[in-house]
Amino acid sequence: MSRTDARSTSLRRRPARTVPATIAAVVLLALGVGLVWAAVQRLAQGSWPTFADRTGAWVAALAWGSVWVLLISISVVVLGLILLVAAIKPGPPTAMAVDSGSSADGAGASTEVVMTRRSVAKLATARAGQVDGVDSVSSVVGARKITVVVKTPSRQLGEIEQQVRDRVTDALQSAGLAPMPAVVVRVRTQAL
Amino acid sequence: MRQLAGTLNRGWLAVIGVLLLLIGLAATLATTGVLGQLLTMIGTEWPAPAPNSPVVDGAAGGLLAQPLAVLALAVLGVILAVLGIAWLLAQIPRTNAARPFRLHDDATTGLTVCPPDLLADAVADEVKTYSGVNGASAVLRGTSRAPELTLKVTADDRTDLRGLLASIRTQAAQNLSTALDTPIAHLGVQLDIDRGKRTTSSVTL
Repeated sequence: MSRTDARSTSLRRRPARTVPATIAAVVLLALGVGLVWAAVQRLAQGSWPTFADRTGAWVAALAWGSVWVLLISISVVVLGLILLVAAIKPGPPTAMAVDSGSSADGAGASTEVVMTRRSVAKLATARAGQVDGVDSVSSVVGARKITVVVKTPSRQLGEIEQQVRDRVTDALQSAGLAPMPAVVVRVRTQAL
Repeated sequence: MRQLAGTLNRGWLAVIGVLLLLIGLAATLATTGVLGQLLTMIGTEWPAPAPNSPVVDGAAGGLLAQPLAVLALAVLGVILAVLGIAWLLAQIPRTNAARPFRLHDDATTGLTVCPPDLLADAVADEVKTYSGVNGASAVLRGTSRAPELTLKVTADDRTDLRGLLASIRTQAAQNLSTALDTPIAHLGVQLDIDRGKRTTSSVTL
Protein backbone atom coordinates (compact mmCIF):
# COMPACT_ATOMS: atom_id res chain seq x y z
CA MET A 1 0.00 0.00 0.00
CA SER A 2 1.00 3.66 -0.15
CA ARG A 3 3.18 5.14 2.52
CA THR A 4 1.38 6.50 5.57
CA ASP A 5 4.44 6.88 7.81
CA ALA A 6 4.62 10.69 7.41
CA ARG A 7 8.28 10.45 6.36
CA SER A 8 9.94 12.37 3.55
CA THR A 9 11.24 10.51 0.52
CA SER A 10 13.83 11.68 -1.99
CA LEU A 11 12.50 14.30 -4.39
CA ARG A 12 14.87 12.96 -7.04
CA ARG A 13 13.12 9.67 -7.59
CA ARG A 14 13.03 7.11 -10.36
CA PRO A 15 9.83 6.54 -12.39
CA ALA A 16 7.20 4.83 -10.23
CA ARG A 17 6.02 2.66 -13.18
CA THR A 18 2.45 3.85 -12.65
CA VAL A 19 1.28 3.01 -16.19
CA PRO A 20 2.30 -0.70 -16.29
CA ALA A 21 1.14 -1.09 -12.68
CA THR A 22 -2.27 0.43 -13.48
CA ILE A 23 -2.68 -1.81 -16.55
CA ALA A 24 -1.69 -4.90 -14.51
CA ALA A 25 -4.09 -3.90 -11.70
CA VAL A 26 -6.98 -3.43 -14.15
CA VAL A 27 -6.25 -6.85 -15.72
CA LEU A 28 -6.19 -8.43 -12.23
CA LEU A 29 -9.47 -6.73 -11.36
CA ALA A 30 -11.12 -7.81 -14.64
CA LEU A 31 -9.90 -11.38 -14.15
CA GLY A 32 -11.25 -11.43 -10.59
CA VAL A 33 -14.63 -10.00 -11.56
CA GLY A 34 -14.90 -12.46 -14.47
CA LEU A 35 -14.11 -15.42 -12.20
CA VAL A 36 -16.63 -14.31 -9.55
CA TRP A 37 -19.31 -13.66 -12.17
CA ALA A 38 -18.81 -17.06 -13.81
CA ALA A 39 -18.69 -18.93 -10.48
CA VAL A 40 -21.78 -17.18 -9.06
CA GLN A 41 -23.80 -17.92 -12.22
CA ARG A 42 -22.65 -21.56 -12.15
CA LEU A 43 -23.70 -21.89 -8.49
CA ALA A 44 -27.00 -19.99 -8.91
CA GLN A 45 -28.23 -21.28 -12.29
CA GLY A 46 -26.26 -24.49 -12.69
CA SER A 47 -24.62 -23.44 -15.97
CA TRP A 48 -21.52 -21.46 -16.89
CA PRO A 49 -22.03 -18.10 -18.62
CA THR A 50 -21.57 -18.08 -22.40
CA PHE A 51 -18.10 -16.44 -22.35
CA ALA A 52 -16.77 -19.02 -19.85
CA ASP A 53 -18.37 -21.89 -21.80
CA ARG A 54 -16.80 -20.76 -25.08
CA THR A 55 -13.38 -20.14 -23.51
CA GLY A 56 -13.49 -23.55 -21.80
CA ALA A 57 -14.48 -25.32 -25.04
CA TRP A 58 -11.69 -23.53 -26.96
CA VAL A 59 -9.05 -24.40 -24.35
CA ALA A 60 -10.26 -28.03 -24.16
CA ALA A 61 -9.80 -28.37 -27.94
CA LEU A 62 -6.16 -27.23 -27.79
CA ALA A 63 -3.38 -29.82 -28.02
CA TRP A 64 0.23 -29.30 -26.86
CA GLY A 65 1.50 -29.44 -30.41
CA SER A 66 -0.88 -26.72 -31.64
CA VAL A 67 0.44 -23.47 -33.10
CA TRP A 68 -1.93 -21.52 -30.82
CA VAL A 69 -0.28 -22.95 -27.70
CA LEU A 70 3.15 -22.00 -29.07
CA LEU A 71 1.99 -18.46 -29.91
CA ILE A 72 0.35 -17.98 -26.51
CA SER A 73 3.43 -19.37 -24.71
CA ILE A 74 5.78 -17.00 -26.55
CA SER A 75 3.42 -14.08 -25.87
CA VAL A 76 3.43 -14.92 -22.15
CA VAL A 77 7.27 -15.05 -22.16
CA VAL A 78 7.45 -11.64 -23.90
CA LEU A 79 4.89 -10.13 -21.50
CA GLY A 80 6.80 -11.50 -18.51
CA LEU A 81 10.05 -10.03 -19.86
CA ILE A 82 8.41 -6.61 -20.40
CA LEU A 83 7.07 -6.54 -16.83
CA LEU A 84 10.41 -7.71 -15.43
CA VAL A 85 12.34 -5.04 -17.35
CA ALA A 86 9.84 -2.38 -16.19
CA ALA A 87 10.37 -3.52 -12.61
CA ILE A 88 14.18 -3.75 -12.72
CA LYS A 89 15.23 -0.92 -15.08
CA PRO A 90 15.72 2.20 -12.93
CA GLY A 91 14.75 4.73 -15.61
CA PRO A 92 15.88 8.34 -15.73
CA PRO A 93 15.33 10.37 -12.55
CA THR A 94 12.31 12.67 -12.65
CA ALA A 95 14.34 15.63 -11.41
CA MET A 96 17.91 16.95 -11.44
CA ALA A 97 19.85 17.67 -8.27
CA VAL A 98 20.64 21.28 -7.42
CA ASP A 99 23.56 22.28 -5.25
CA SER A 100 21.87 24.45 -2.64
CA GLY A 101 25.17 26.00 -1.63
CA SER A 102 25.19 24.16 1.69
CA SER A 103 24.70 20.49 2.43
CA ALA A 104 23.23 21.39 5.77
CA ASP A 105 21.65 24.48 7.17
CA GLY A 106 22.80 26.21 10.32
CA ALA A 107 20.81 23.88 12.51
CA GLY A 108 22.25 20.73 10.94
CA ALA A 109 19.28 19.75 8.75
CA SER A 110 19.85 17.64 5.68
CA THR A 111 18.90 19.59 2.57
CA GLU A 112 17.80 18.30 -0.82
CA VAL A 113 17.05 20.67 -3.68
CA VAL A 114 15.89 19.45 -7.07
CA MET A 115 14.61 20.92 -10.29
CA THR A 116 12.21 18.92 -12.43
CA ARG A 117 13.43 18.07 -15.90
CA ARG A 118 10.51 20.02 -17.36
CA SER A 119 11.62 23.08 -15.40
CA VAL A 120 15.21 22.69 -16.60
CA ALA A 121 13.86 22.59 -20.15
CA LYS A 122 11.76 25.72 -19.51
CA LEU A 123 14.77 27.55 -18.06
CA ALA A 124 16.98 26.58 -21.01
CA THR A 125 14.27 27.54 -23.50
CA ALA A 126 13.65 30.90 -21.82
CA ARG A 127 17.34 31.82 -21.72
CA ALA A 128 17.99 30.68 -25.28
CA GLY A 129 14.98 32.70 -26.42
CA GLN A 130 16.61 35.88 -25.06
CA VAL A 131 19.49 35.64 -27.56
CA ASP A 132 19.17 38.12 -30.42
CA GLY A 133 18.35 36.43 -33.71
CA VAL A 134 16.54 33.46 -32.19
CA ASP A 135 13.01 32.98 -33.50
CA SER A 136 11.88 29.84 -31.70
CA VAL A 137 13.39 27.40 -29.24
CA SER A 138 12.58 23.92 -27.98
CA SER A 139 14.54 21.96 -25.38
CA VAL A 140 14.68 18.30 -24.50
CA VAL A 141 16.22 17.27 -21.19
CA GLY A 142 17.74 13.83 -20.81
CA ALA A 143 19.42 12.30 -17.78
CA ARG A 144 22.81 13.94 -18.55
CA LYS A 145 22.24 16.05 -21.62
CA ILE A 146 20.12 19.02 -22.64
CA THR A 147 19.42 19.45 -26.32
CA VAL A 148 18.36 22.93 -27.35
CA VAL A 149 16.98 23.29 -30.89
CA VAL A 150 16.97 26.86 -32.13
CA LYS A 151 15.41 28.28 -35.28
CA THR A 152 16.86 31.49 -36.65
CA PRO A 153 16.65 33.53 -39.84
CA SER A 154 20.29 34.59 -39.31
CA ARG A 155 23.13 33.31 -41.48
CA GLN A 156 25.58 33.49 -38.59
CA LEU A 157 24.74 30.00 -37.40
CA GLY A 158 28.01 29.41 -35.57
CA GLU A 159 27.73 32.67 -33.69
CA ILE A 160 24.12 32.04 -32.69
CA GLU A 161 25.01 28.50 -31.56
CA GLN A 162 27.86 29.78 -29.39
CA GLN A 163 25.73 32.54 -27.85
CA VAL A 164 22.88 30.15 -27.06
CA ARG A 165 25.27 27.59 -25.56
CA ASP A 166 26.93 30.23 -23.38
CA ARG A 167 23.60 31.68 -22.23
CA VAL A 168 22.06 28.27 -21.39
CA THR A 169 25.22 26.98 -19.71
CA ASP A 170 25.45 30.15 -17.64
CA ALA A 171 21.78 29.85 -16.58
CA LEU A 172 22.15 26.21 -15.54
CA GLN A 173 25.38 26.91 -13.67
CA SER A 174 23.74 29.84 -11.88
CA ALA A 175 20.84 27.59 -10.92
CA GLY A 176 23.41 25.22 -9.40
CA LEU A 177 22.62 22.00 -11.27
CA ALA A 178 25.01 19.35 -9.99
CA PRO A 179 26.25 17.42 -11.88
CA MET A 180 26.09 19.92 -14.68
CA PRO A 181 24.46 18.37 -17.77
CA ALA A 182 26.05 18.72 -21.20
CA VAL A 183 24.43 21.39 -23.35
CA VAL A 184 23.94 20.50 -27.01
CA VAL A 185 22.72 23.26 -29.32
CA ARG A 186 21.32 22.64 -32.78
CA VAL A 187 20.68 25.68 -34.96
CA ARG A 188 18.35 25.50 -37.92
CA THR A 189 17.78 28.23 -40.42
CA GLN A 190 14.30 29.52 -40.92
CA ALA A 191 13.30 31.26 -44.11
CA LEU A 192 12.16 34.84 -43.66
CA MET B 1 6.05 16.49 -3.70
CA ARG B 2 3.31 13.89 -3.46
CA GLN B 3 4.53 10.36 -2.95
CA LEU B 4 3.89 7.48 -5.36
CA ALA B 5 3.89 3.73 -4.80
CA GLY B 6 7.10 3.12 -6.77
CA THR B 7 8.49 0.32 -4.61
CA LEU B 8 5.13 -1.46 -4.45
CA ASN B 9 4.68 -1.22 -8.23
CA ARG B 10 8.15 -2.48 -9.02
CA GLY B 11 7.87 -5.32 -6.50
CA TRP B 12 4.56 -6.64 -7.84
CA LEU B 13 5.58 -6.11 -11.47
CA ALA B 14 8.70 -8.19 -10.77
CA VAL B 15 6.68 -10.97 -9.11
CA ILE B 16 4.11 -11.13 -11.93
CA GLY B 17 6.87 -10.83 -14.55
CA VAL B 18 8.85 -13.76 -13.11
CA LEU B 19 5.68 -15.89 -12.83
CA LEU B 20 4.66 -15.19 -16.43
CA LEU B 21 8.21 -15.79 -17.64
CA LEU B 22 8.43 -19.18 -15.91
CA ILE B 23 4.96 -20.30 -17.07
CA GLY B 24 5.62 -19.10 -20.61
CA LEU B 25 9.05 -20.77 -20.80
CA ALA B 26 7.71 -24.07 -19.46
CA ALA B 27 4.81 -24.01 -21.93
CA THR B 28 7.13 -23.11 -24.83
CA LEU B 29 9.51 -25.96 -23.94
CA ALA B 30 6.55 -28.36 -23.64
CA THR B 31 4.94 -27.40 -26.94
CA THR B 32 8.24 -27.55 -28.89
CA GLY B 33 9.12 -30.96 -27.42
CA VAL B 34 12.30 -29.69 -25.75
CA LEU B 35 10.82 -30.38 -22.31
CA GLY B 36 10.65 -34.14 -23.06
CA GLN B 37 14.33 -34.19 -24.09
CA LEU B 38 15.32 -32.23 -20.96
CA LEU B 39 13.35 -34.60 -18.69
CA THR B 40 14.98 -37.62 -20.35
CA MET B 41 18.42 -36.04 -20.02
CA ILE B 42 17.88 -35.39 -16.31
CA GLY B 43 16.60 -38.92 -15.89
CA THR B 44 13.28 -38.17 -14.20
CA GLU B 45 10.25 -40.41 -14.41
CA TRP B 46 7.92 -37.54 -15.28
CA PRO B 47 6.57 -37.82 -18.81
CA ALA B 48 6.49 -34.75 -21.03
CA PRO B 49 3.09 -34.03 -22.68
CA ALA B 50 2.69 -35.60 -26.10
CA PRO B 51 2.12 -33.14 -29.01
CA ASN B 52 -1.37 -34.51 -29.67
CA SER B 53 -2.46 -34.67 -26.02
CA PRO B 54 -4.91 -31.94 -24.89
CA VAL B 55 -3.62 -29.03 -22.82
CA VAL B 56 -6.59 -29.44 -20.45
CA ASP B 57 -7.72 -33.03 -20.00
CA GLY B 58 -11.13 -34.35 -18.94
CA ALA B 59 -10.18 -34.45 -15.25
CA ALA B 60 -10.10 -30.63 -15.14
CA GLY B 61 -13.60 -30.49 -16.65
CA GLY B 62 -14.84 -32.96 -14.04
CA LEU B 63 -13.24 -30.94 -11.26
CA LEU B 64 -15.03 -27.77 -12.37
CA ALA B 65 -18.36 -29.61 -12.09
CA GLN B 66 -17.84 -29.89 -8.31
CA PRO B 67 -19.59 -27.10 -6.33
CA LEU B 68 -16.59 -26.85 -3.99
CA ALA B 69 -14.23 -26.17 -6.91
CA VAL B 70 -16.61 -23.51 -8.23
CA LEU B 71 -16.68 -21.93 -4.77
CA ALA B 72 -12.87 -21.98 -4.68
CA LEU B 73 -12.90 -20.26 -8.07
CA ALA B 74 -15.21 -17.56 -6.69
CA VAL B 75 -12.92 -17.03 -3.68
CA LEU B 76 -9.91 -16.78 -6.01
CA GLY B 77 -11.83 -14.23 -8.07
CA VAL B 78 -12.63 -12.15 -4.98
CA ILE B 79 -8.95 -12.24 -3.90
CA LEU B 80 -7.77 -11.15 -7.37
CA ALA B 81 -10.40 -8.38 -7.55
CA VAL B 82 -9.50 -7.06 -4.07
CA LEU B 83 -5.78 -7.10 -4.95
CA GLY B 84 -6.54 -5.28 -8.21
CA ILE B 85 -8.61 -2.59 -6.46
CA ALA B 86 -5.99 -2.15 -3.70
CA TRP B 87 -3.23 -1.82 -6.31
CA LEU B 88 -5.29 0.72 -8.28
CA LEU B 89 -5.98 2.77 -5.15
CA ALA B 90 -2.26 2.75 -4.32
CA GLN B 91 -1.62 4.64 -7.58
CA ILE B 92 -3.27 7.77 -6.18
CA PRO B 93 -0.45 10.17 -5.19
CA ARG B 94 -0.40 10.79 -1.43
CA THR B 95 0.76 13.81 0.50
CA ASN B 96 1.67 11.58 3.45
CA ALA B 97 1.68 14.62 5.72
CA ALA B 98 2.47 14.52 9.42
CA ARG B 99 -0.19 13.79 12.02
CA PRO B 100 -1.20 16.76 14.22
CA PHE B 101 1.83 17.92 16.18
CA ARG B 102 1.51 17.47 19.96
CA LEU B 103 3.49 20.51 21.00
CA HIS B 104 2.64 19.92 24.65
CA ASP B 105 1.76 16.31 25.41
CA ASP B 106 1.49 16.29 29.20
CA ALA B 107 -2.17 15.48 29.86
CA THR B 108 -2.00 16.63 33.48
CA THR B 109 -1.17 20.23 32.53
CA GLY B 110 -2.99 20.33 29.19
CA LEU B 111 -2.46 19.25 25.60
CA THR B 112 -1.44 21.58 22.80
CA VAL B 113 -2.11 20.23 19.33
CA CYS B 114 -1.17 22.02 16.12
CA PRO B 115 -2.29 20.85 12.66
CA PRO B 116 0.85 20.63 10.45
CA ASP B 117 -1.00 22.00 7.40
CA LEU B 118 -1.47 25.28 9.30
CA LEU B 119 2.30 25.66 9.66
CA ALA B 120 2.91 24.43 6.11
CA ASP B 121 0.48 27.03 4.72
CA ALA B 122 2.23 29.76 6.73
CA VAL B 123 5.62 28.71 5.28
CA ALA B 124 4.16 28.59 1.74
CA ASP B 125 2.56 32.03 2.17
CA GLU B 126 5.89 33.44 3.32
CA VAL B 127 7.78 31.95 0.36
CA LYS B 128 5.16 33.38 -2.03
CA THR B 129 6.16 36.88 -0.91
CA TYR B 130 9.78 36.37 -2.07
CA SER B 131 10.85 38.16 -5.22
CA GLY B 132 10.39 36.10 -8.40
CA VAL B 133 8.18 33.45 -6.81
CA ASN B 134 4.95 32.76 -8.71
CA GLY B 135 3.62 30.07 -6.38
CA ALA B 136 4.53 27.83 -3.47
CA SER B 137 3.14 24.90 -1.53
CA ALA B 138 4.53 23.09 1.49
CA VAL B 139 4.12 19.77 3.28
CA LEU B 140 5.28 19.03 6.79
CA ARG B 141 6.21 15.47 7.65
CA GLY B 142 7.95 13.86 10.61
CA THR B 143 7.16 14.89 14.17
CA SER B 144 7.11 18.16 16.11
CA ARG B 145 10.57 17.29 17.51
CA ALA B 146 12.02 16.33 14.12
CA PRO B 147 9.97 18.16 11.48
CA GLU B 148 10.68 17.55 7.82
CA LEU B 149 9.73 20.39 5.48
CA THR B 150 9.16 19.81 1.77
CA LEU B 151 8.55 22.83 -0.44
CA LYS B 152 7.46 23.16 -4.04
CA VAL B 153 8.38 26.57 -5.33
CA THR B 154 7.42 27.89 -8.74
CA ALA B 155 9.78 30.66 -9.74
CA ASP B 156 10.07 32.97 -12.71
CA ASP B 157 12.79 32.00 -15.19
CA ARG B 158 14.62 35.28 -14.49
CA THR B 159 14.77 34.72 -10.73
CA ASP B 160 18.08 34.47 -8.90
CA LEU B 161 17.62 30.85 -7.83
CA ARG B 162 20.65 30.80 -5.51
CA GLY B 163 19.34 33.84 -3.67
CA LEU B 164 15.87 32.33 -3.49
CA LEU B 165 17.24 29.10 -1.99
CA ALA B 166 19.26 31.08 0.53
CA SER B 167 16.11 33.00 1.54
CA ILE B 168 14.16 29.77 1.94
CA ARG B 169 16.89 28.27 4.11
CA THR B 170 17.66 31.28 6.26
CA GLN B 171 14.18 32.80 6.53
CA ALA B 172 11.26 30.43 5.83
CA ALA B 173 12.84 27.30 7.31
CA GLN B 174 14.38 29.27 10.13
CA ASN B 175 11.03 30.87 11.01
CA LEU B 176 9.39 27.44 11.11
CA SER B 177 12.22 26.19 13.28
CA THR B 178 11.67 29.12 15.66
CA ALA B 179 7.90 28.55 15.73
CA LEU B 180 8.33 24.88 16.63
CA ASP B 181 11.29 25.60 18.89
CA THR B 182 13.26 22.77 17.29
CA PRO B 183 15.65 22.48 14.33
CA ILE B 184 14.30 21.27 10.98
CA ALA B 185 15.44 17.67 10.48
CA HIS B 186 15.13 17.69 6.69
CA LEU B 187 14.51 20.40 4.13
CA GLY B 188 13.46 19.39 0.62
CA VAL B 189 12.86 21.95 -2.13
CA GLN B 190 11.48 21.21 -5.57
CA LEU B 191 12.10 24.14 -7.90
CA ASP B 192 9.72 24.60 -10.79
CA ILE B 193 10.23 27.21 -13.46
CA ASP B 194 7.32 29.12 -14.92
CA ARG B 195 7.37 32.08 -17.26
CA GLY B 196 4.49 33.64 -15.29
CA LYS B 197 2.76 36.82 -16.36
CA ARG B 198 4.71 39.17 -18.60
CA THR B 199 3.94 42.79 -19.18
CA THR B 200 5.34 44.65 -22.12
CA SER B 201 5.42 48.34 -22.76
CA SER B 202 6.82 50.36 -25.60
CA VAL B 203 8.75 53.57 -25.78
CA THR B 204 8.82 55.85 -28.81
CA LEU B 205 12.16 57.60 -29.31
